[in-house]
Amino acid sequence: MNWTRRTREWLQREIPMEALLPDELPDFVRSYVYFFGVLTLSSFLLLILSGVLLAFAGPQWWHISPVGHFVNSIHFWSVQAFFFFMVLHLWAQFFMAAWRGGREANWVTGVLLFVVSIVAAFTGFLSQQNFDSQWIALQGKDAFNALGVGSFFNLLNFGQMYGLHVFLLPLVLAILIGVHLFLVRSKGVVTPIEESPRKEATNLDK
Amino acid sequence: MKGDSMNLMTGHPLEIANLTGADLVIVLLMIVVFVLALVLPYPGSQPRREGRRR
Repeated sequence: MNWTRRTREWLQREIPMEALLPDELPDFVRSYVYFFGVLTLSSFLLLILSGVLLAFAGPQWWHISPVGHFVNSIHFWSVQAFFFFMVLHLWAQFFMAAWRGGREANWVTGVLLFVVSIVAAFTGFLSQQNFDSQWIALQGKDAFNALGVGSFFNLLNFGQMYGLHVFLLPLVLAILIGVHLFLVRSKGVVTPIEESPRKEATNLDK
Repeated sequence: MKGDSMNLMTGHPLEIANLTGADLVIVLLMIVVFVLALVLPYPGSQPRREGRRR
């Protein structure tokens, strides 16, 4: 058997299209608690959209023009919403122990997303180029120098911080979100704890 | 403040966790939204039966 055929058969087995794009969801998903993940994703899409506009028009635009100020604010409030809903999503998944049933990898990608998001938000803060962000860069550089990584991650280097913020970190986030969503779809939404199959198997009623 | 830790460079007392009122308001708002999401019934959902065993 050649490798293209092996790959195709593995993909068909591991990624069935009916699991990736389902038209039905289990009844327990009918709760607002399940909104937080998709709200985080929506905030991320808004961040990418407003971020593309900001990157395209440049710092003079977002500092001076009224429309630039507006898009800058959209970007700012999107990141507030992004972290707000991400933390609520984290709480929800933590309390339903969403790593059950072979979903450990999905929990780990979520943790990675949280960590990378913090770095992305921090480099974004430094990219604002206002006095506040310059002050934070000046203060924060000491922490990174103390860690011994100041020469690789120089907070006072606007080009480096901006480059990380508009290219590398969003790329890593988008890839991780893709893996995160793929794992949700391929494993399915975790069942509520009182309806878990393990409890069914004990046949307590009989 | 006497007895408290202080910044040795400036002599200012160290702030605990550097929290502001805005931080606390956000955490409070998150708790409110989370609890509302738990208790508000979703349109079209079945009322939860108490003590259900499957």
